[in-house]
Amino acid sequence: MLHPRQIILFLLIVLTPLGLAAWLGLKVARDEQATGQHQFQALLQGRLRDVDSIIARTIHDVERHLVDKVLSREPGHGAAPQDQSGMAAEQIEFLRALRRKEPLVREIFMLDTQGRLLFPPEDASASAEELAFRARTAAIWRGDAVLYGVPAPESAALAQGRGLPDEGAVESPVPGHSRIPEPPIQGVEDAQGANLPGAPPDARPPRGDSILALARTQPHGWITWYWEEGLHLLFWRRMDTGRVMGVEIERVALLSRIVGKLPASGIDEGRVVLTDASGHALHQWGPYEPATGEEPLASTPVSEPLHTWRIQHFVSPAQKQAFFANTLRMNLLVGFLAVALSLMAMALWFYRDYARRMRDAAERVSFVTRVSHELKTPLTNIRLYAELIDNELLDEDDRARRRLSVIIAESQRLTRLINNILTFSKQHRAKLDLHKTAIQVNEVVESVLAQFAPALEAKGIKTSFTAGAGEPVQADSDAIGQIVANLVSNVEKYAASGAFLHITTLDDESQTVVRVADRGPGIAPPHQEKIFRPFYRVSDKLADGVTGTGIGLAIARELARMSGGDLVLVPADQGACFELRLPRRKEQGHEGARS
Amino acid sequence: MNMSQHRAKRASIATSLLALCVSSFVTPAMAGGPADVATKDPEIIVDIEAGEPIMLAGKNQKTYVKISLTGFDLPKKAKRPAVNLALVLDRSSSMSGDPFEKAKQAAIMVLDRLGPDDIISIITYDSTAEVLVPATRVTNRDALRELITSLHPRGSTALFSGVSYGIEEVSKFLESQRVNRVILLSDGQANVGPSSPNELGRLGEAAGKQGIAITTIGLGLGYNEDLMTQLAMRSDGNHGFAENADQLATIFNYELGDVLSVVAQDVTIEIEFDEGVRPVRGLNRDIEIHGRKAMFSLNQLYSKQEKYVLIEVDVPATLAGKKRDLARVAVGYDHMLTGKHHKLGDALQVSFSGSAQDVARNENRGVMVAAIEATAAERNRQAIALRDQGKIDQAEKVLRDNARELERQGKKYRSDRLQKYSEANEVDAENVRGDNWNRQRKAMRKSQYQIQMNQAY
Repeated sequence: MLHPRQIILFLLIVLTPLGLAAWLGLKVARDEQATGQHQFQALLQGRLRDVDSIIARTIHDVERHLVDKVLSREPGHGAAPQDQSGMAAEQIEFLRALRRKEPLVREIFMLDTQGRLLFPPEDASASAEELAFRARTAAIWRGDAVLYGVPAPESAALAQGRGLPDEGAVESPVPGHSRIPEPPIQGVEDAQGANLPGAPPDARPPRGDSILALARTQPHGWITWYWEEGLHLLFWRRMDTGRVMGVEIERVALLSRIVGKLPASGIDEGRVVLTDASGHALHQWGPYEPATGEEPLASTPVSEPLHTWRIQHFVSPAQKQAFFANTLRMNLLVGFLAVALSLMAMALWFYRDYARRMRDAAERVSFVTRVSHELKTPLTNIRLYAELIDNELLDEDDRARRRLSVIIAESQRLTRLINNILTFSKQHRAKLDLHKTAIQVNEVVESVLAQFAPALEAKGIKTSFTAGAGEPVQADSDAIGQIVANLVSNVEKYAASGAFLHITTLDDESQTVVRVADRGPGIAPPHQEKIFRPFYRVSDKLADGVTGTGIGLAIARELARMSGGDLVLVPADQGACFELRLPRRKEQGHEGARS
Repeated sequence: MNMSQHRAKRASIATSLLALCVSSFVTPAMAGGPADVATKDPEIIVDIEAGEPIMLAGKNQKTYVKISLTGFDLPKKAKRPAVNLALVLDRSSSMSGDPFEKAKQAAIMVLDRLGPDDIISIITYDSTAEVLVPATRVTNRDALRELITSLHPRGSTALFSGVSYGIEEVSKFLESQRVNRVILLSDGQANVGPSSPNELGRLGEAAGKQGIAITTIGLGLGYNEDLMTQLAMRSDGNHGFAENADQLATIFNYELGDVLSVVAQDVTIEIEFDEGVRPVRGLNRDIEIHGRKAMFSLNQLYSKQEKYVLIEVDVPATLAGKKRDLARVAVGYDHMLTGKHHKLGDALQVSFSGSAQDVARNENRGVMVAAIEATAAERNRQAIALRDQGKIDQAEKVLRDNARELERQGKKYRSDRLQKYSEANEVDAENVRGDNWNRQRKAMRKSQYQIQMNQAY
């Protein structure tokens, strides 16, 4: 019942908006995911900054402790006789006692006003540990290390809100740390500073600054460098006498203290890892176990002086999902489904309605066809007996003959009407059969005119016929008759005001033409093609007093085309002029095989 | 070892030094009678002895000086010092099953032996560390017991973080009048955070400076004994080796016995040698040497336990008949019963004789045996180093030679101790090859530790 074209139409109606909705939804979801990712990262970065601020606070406490307690005063200055190193025995003992007591202090050192290392001593009184310290820090005292503006931890950095650096500050290279690279071979202190890996030999930095030079601008600061196990830290302070006192920090003790201050738990589902410069985990917490090689979702360097360390945040897939699979995507999906469902419901409703209308229409047509068929037999009988009576009537009985002729004319009209309906319904069911024989169009036209003579005469239409055609054409005479009858019937119905009907037949080179012209109101240009459509009427107003089914011209053109010709409206000075064109065949006989 | 002999040898200088120092520390109320204080409170015993009290004259020579400290007997009615303890338990998945159950039982046993004045914290670690019980007084024993019982093993090993949390928890109530200690139980390697023996040793040293001793107990055959001994040694804690979980209860019992019998803390020992006499090295312990001064410190002394250091000393040629004040020792410590800082001293005098017989006859057997044992332990350590380098044959030879030498000296000094250690070295040599080496290495480290640190168990 449905054409494939209609199915495609329905599919388009449903799928086009659906596709559009899906595309929009995806786009919104993608945008949302991007912002979500951003927010999530910002959240993690915030957490990492909190962690960093704990570390910064611990470092700050260490600095305070070192400045206030460990390096608070120069030991017994000018107290006792000095030995050759410029330090009194009591002073040396004081420094050693400090080192033995302070967990964070691995070694302690003292520089004189010229920047020379006063302590630890180099002579026989030095312990093995003290000599090892001199060896691993030799480059710093020789001045080979390039030191930049070592930050004054309290004065400058603290004033800037240490521990809560803005992102830009964290990313920028942090000045203030010695650039002594990791020595290629342990124990070869001469290699320090001289062999900067990655720097060509001639690009060797200028002979470095000394701590003393730094001490002219700041009261205290950090120095970092790498040696053997990794990061080493020095903290120094300028004393009142112009000497510099400092300590080498015990790295593991500092780390242990930081670890002790960091939370042991408290993050859901994720994992935070504190790593050293080479990416090894120093400490971690959180239940999630990242896979090897997994990239952290957020990462931030620790603030100075541990800036080579990083804090990384890993996130479990479940946590990521929990954040991203929020209501939005769910809403989008639900919305999309709702749109799809309503569209399909609407399409289904339209389809059912359409199908019902089609079925109703088909039933009505079938009903009319059946009724017409039933009417045909009694009508034929009426016409037959009326004509018989007409033949048997006496000549003088004029009144009866006139009334009888009306009966005959009306029954003929009714027959044509029924023929039209049946032709139309057969044509629609592709059941129309034409039986072509060689016919003379003139004869057909004359027979039609004879049929219509009483009606035309009754309306005062002056009829003329110019029979110019002579060649026979291959056609079904009933069909041609029906065409011409429809044309003449139209003149009688719609162009009676012109009181003129002229039919011309003529042969040109390949076809025979039947031209029907009237002088009625004519057909306005907007209607000129539409009048050939079924059920099309120029005026629907019953009040015009004009009847008609509206299928006459449609049937006429269809029959003409089935006969191999055409029916067209040709321009005319006045009224309407239709031309029926029927081709002539030179060789005849192929067709016309009758059943 | 003959205690009365030691006491008799103490130089009179000790008493005067003590009296002087104590008087400067007593409260005003007691200031009237420093002598009373000295007799009333038991003191730790400080001894300084030479291997050869009579040395051969006219020759540069090497000798051993032994400085020993022995904790006094805790008076019966005296209140024992309060304990501030952190238990750090490995709960990595390798502990699953019996080991972890036994570890929990041991932890509960520790809990049961502590009193309401004591402080305990419990830290567990796998791939991350967690403070299960923050430092708290042992008042609600049942709740703590329940927490321990509910533990389950999981994950890998963040030993450094675990110990760091242990130190942090103990630091919260760090007091010189408490016994501050971390007990670490591990059956595995450290793989998160610093994990080299050297780094953990440095951590131990930092903890020791704070007065926190770390006792390490290795369980099974998977732990890193070098790391565990370094951590314990540098913080002056104990080290235990429990090959199977059944031994945990015994070890924890010994450990608790030590912890609950601390009589002195923050013990510093300074030795000054005579002009021309040069200390070379500490034979059993690492000591700090500056010229002719040497020093070392102990985190604590346990009741009735002797801790000592043996120092190798170069003595210049001296004429026969002469005497030399070889060394003076000054000891300072926190007395756990009085809560005060006490100072003690002792001096060592040696005489010189031309007769080798005289020298041999007067040898101090106790010092000689200790020196021989310490030297043998050092060779035992070398054997491990050789074996680690893959020099199996050399390692075996060192151990066999060691055993033979120990046997010879054992006979000479009629010492069961040396005989036993000779046999132990023989067993070590047997196991240098083959599957048993891993176990043997742990046992060797354990006995080295015991000899070096004079550990009671």
